[in-house]
This record gives sequence, structure tokens and C-alpha cells, in this order.
Amino acid sequence: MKKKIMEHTRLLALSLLAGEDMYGYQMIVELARRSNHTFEMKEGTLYPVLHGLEQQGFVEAYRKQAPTGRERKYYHLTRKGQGALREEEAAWKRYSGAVNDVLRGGAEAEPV
Amino acid sequence: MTRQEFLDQVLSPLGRLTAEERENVRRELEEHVEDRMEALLEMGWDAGLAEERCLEAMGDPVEIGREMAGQYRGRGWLWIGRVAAALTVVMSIQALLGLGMLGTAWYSLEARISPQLDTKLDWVEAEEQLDLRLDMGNDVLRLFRVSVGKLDGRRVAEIAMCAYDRWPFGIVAHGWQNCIELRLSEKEARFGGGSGRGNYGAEYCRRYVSLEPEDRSITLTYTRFGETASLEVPIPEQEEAP
Amino acid sequence: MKKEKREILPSRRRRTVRRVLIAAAAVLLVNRIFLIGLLFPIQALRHIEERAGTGRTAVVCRDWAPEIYKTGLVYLTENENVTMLSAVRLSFYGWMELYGVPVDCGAEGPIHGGWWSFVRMEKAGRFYVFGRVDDPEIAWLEVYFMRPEDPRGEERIGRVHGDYGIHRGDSGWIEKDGRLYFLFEANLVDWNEYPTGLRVVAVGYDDDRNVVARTDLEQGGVTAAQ
Repeated sequence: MKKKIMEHTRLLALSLLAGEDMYGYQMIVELARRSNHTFEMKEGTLYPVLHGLEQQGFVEAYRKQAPTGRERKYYHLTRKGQGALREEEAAWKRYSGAVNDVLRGGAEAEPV
Repeated sequence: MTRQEFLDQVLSPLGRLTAEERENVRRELEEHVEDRMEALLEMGWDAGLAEERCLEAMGDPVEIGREMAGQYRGRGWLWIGRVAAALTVVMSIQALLGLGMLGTAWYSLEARISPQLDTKLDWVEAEEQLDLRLDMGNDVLRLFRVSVGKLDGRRVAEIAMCAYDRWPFGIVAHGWQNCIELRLSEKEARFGGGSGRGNYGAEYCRRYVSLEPEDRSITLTYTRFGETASLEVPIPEQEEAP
Repeated sequence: MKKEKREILPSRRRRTVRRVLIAAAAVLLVNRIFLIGLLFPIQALRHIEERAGTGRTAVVCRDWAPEIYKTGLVYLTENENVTMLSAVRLSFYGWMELYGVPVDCGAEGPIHGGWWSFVRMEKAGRFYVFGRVDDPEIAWLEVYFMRPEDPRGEERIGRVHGDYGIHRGDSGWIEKDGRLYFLFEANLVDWNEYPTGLRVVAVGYDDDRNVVARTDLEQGGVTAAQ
């Protein structure tokens, strides 16, 4: 179960960064905003995910001054990361599509 | 739990990380807490309660630490990098210890570009700069000067030559000087070898041939390990005084 | 559009790749320009080849010779024209060339060979006899010593192995690519007992113990180490 949450978080993080470079706290806030507060995870757990993505080369990090005036560690989606995002998006669509199909009682039936 | 205790708990399973990496993690988490705190304080929260709320919102520090440690594990990148760094240090020491070997590199380049060897003749009657080359194995034999003059009372021709590897900074073979034969038309040369200088980068030597007035050219032949090649060296004539 | 210069924090992989590239460049530079810091013994062998002018040779066999140096390795190598015995060792400067004895196999006769003696501190050492035999008739090879003033070799003053030498079926003979090589090691000869200018002669016998060929082995030399 924990692994699945981690994987979801990876997909969410990658997709947030597709729009613009962000730092950790900013991502938490944005995530809550976009999902209308459905996703309100334990904030600290985002960071292992980000570091994992960084070590694997899907994101790069650099330090920059945030709009608040303080310096923060920003993350940037790399080309490799873009590819990973597309893959994970596709996988998610397949998965969620399959769940929907089951809930609806099977794929669209053939016309009789 | 205080902020410090929280961070310490997160960092505690991160023993395998470098000090720099650990500091990065600590800093990033602390900055996050700072940001969250600021947001709460702006909303009017009490400082102590705000800190408590922040840390609670962060999650379980032990779990965060464990997950974090997991992201840095595997594939031995760190050790390969350390071995590489150690190798670089070893090589740098080698370079320092072996500075004398740069003489080899220098010889190798010098012979290629502008070979130098002074003459041992007592008196020079005529001289000509040459650039005749022949392949000796994977080295190049280059005859760069022929001089005519007197040595120990005899009239001789002195051929100045050098050998160097085909590739710059390569090693030149040793002992080729004994594999060279000089002939004047049909006769074998009647005067022998001379001195020279050299190292792994290039080797120079002088060769002498007793001359008769009618001799026009010297034939140099190299034979070694099944390979043989020849060159004709023209004998320079003394320039007529105008 | 203003291009921001940002310094990316390197991940482990990026740091490692950078370190590996720098290490590779350092090794290449030191190996090629300084000619030291060789990481593999075969590189030192290539140096010996270059210095001897033999061209590329292939390894026939390799032997560890700890009596010479703790890390001493002896190689027998060959190519079309040459058979060579070389020795290398590991030092603070990396693998280094010790000595190489090339034997020109273009000379007349079916037996081509050389000898080499290595003495260390007047005690232990190694004495090698090596070469190539081109005549399939030769079944035995005998190596012995002669005085320089005894041209017909009537008096044998020492020999490397027993009567008639070593049979080609015994160890010390190596076949490679259709050619037959030999590398014999003898107990160290005490050179103080023998006169200078000693000749080392090899004689080849066929199966019926008839002499097929005889040749002087080219002197490799005596190397003494501290």
C-alpha cells in the first residue's frame, strides 16, 4: 500500500514540475490547491520522492531565490523526466480506465 | 518534539550519505518548516502551537528518514566515484614523481620539428640540410644533415640522423644504430660510427664515411627483424667562390 | 530573453561520471606523455616491444618470478620475425619494464634462441633459456656451456639439463599457431665459476638421437638487481 502511495506521489510530482520549476513547499501548496484539498499528504514524505527522482536523473535541482525572498532548492524536470511522466501518465490512464470499466460493469458491450 | 529533534530523527538513518548530502536534506526540510510556520503565523497562530502543527503536518520523521535513505542506496555510484578520485590522486603523484620523463616528450617533439645535433668534424667544407626519411618498424628514421669535412686528418662525410616513433610521445626503438649499413657506390663504407644522444622519445647519431673526391652519394641501408629499406644521401659539393 | 545561469546540484551519478572522466583523462595523460603509471603489466610489455623495435608481439606464455622481484612477471612473446623474453614488475611508478631479449628468427637454421640470467643480491635468481624451433624433426633440445676458446665445443663445462636435454613432450615446450617455442628454466648458474665470454649452445636431436642442428644462443645477458 505504501509503495502505491509513493508511486502516485512520483506521478504527481513529475506532473507539477511539467508546468514550471518549483520547490518542495510550493509543490505541496499547489497540490492541495489543484486537487481541491483531496491530496493532503504528510508533507515530509514528498522529499524522499523528490530526492529519488533527482538521483535517477528525472529531475535536476538548483538553488534560487523564491518570491518570498528566501533562497530555496528548486526542481526542474529533465527531458528524461518528461519521458517518464508520459509513461507514468499512460500507465495511470490504463489503470484508472480499467477500474472505471469494472465499476461500470464491463467494457462497452457489443451491439446486439 | 522540537524542530531540532525532528530533524535529528530524520537524519539518523542517513549514515550512508555523505556529510554534504545530509546537510542538504536537513536544510531543505528546515526551510519547508520555516515556510509553513510563516504561513501559520500570518494567519495568527501562536508560535508554539504553530511549530507543533508544522511538525505534525510533516509526518513521521523516522519514516521520512528511512524512505530518504532508500533513495540513495544502490548501484555503488558513490564507491566508483571514490575509486576514480583516488586513481586521479595516484596519477597526479605519478606525474609529479615522473617530471623527469617530460624530457622524453620534449625529445619526441623536437626531433619531429627541428632536430639538433652539432657536428664533430674538425673542419667543415660543405654542408647541406636534408629531410630524408625511412620507416623503421613503427619508427621513423630521419636524416637531417650531411656535412663534408675533415676528421682526424681524413676527409669524411658526416651524416646526422635521428629516429623517433611514428606517433608523437611514442617510444623509439633502441639499437637501430647497429642495423645501419653505409655504402659508397660498390664499396662498403670504410669509416664507422660516431656518437649521439637520446632517450625514449628520440635518438640521434652521427655516422661517418671516408670520401674519395669522385664520390657523389652514399647509400644507407637499414635491416632488422626481417625488414629492410634504403636511402640515397647526396654528398654536397663545396660552393665555388665567386 | 535573459538566460539565467544556474548551478545544478549534482546527483551521485553526475558526480561519479565527472570523476570517472577526470580519472580516465589523468591516466591517459600520465601513461602517454610521462610514460609511467601503467596499470597493467601488458602495457609495460608494450614498452619493451617499442624499445626493442620488434613490433607487436603476441604472448606465448607468462610466468611469475618472485625470486627476481616479488611482483616480477616474465613473458615469452612472438611474432613472425621475433621471439622475445621480457620481464616486468610493479613499482611505485606502476608496472615497469625490466628487460627484454629479442631474438631475430630470420637467421639461418631451425633453432633460434637466447638466454638470460637474472641475479638478485648474489643469491636467488632465475636463468632462462628460450627460443623457437622450426624443424619438426627435432625431438630433443640440449643446452650447454662452452669456453670461448673451445670452438668445436669438445668440452662441455656445464649443462642446463640432463643428457640430450628436454624432450618436446615435456614441460617447457609450448606450441602456438603451428610454431614450437621453448622456455626452460634452470637452477641459477653461479657465474663466478665460469669464464667471461662463455658460449651457450643449443643442440637439437631427432628421435634417434642424431644431431639435427646446433646453434649459439644469442646472449641475453646477466642482469643484477639490488
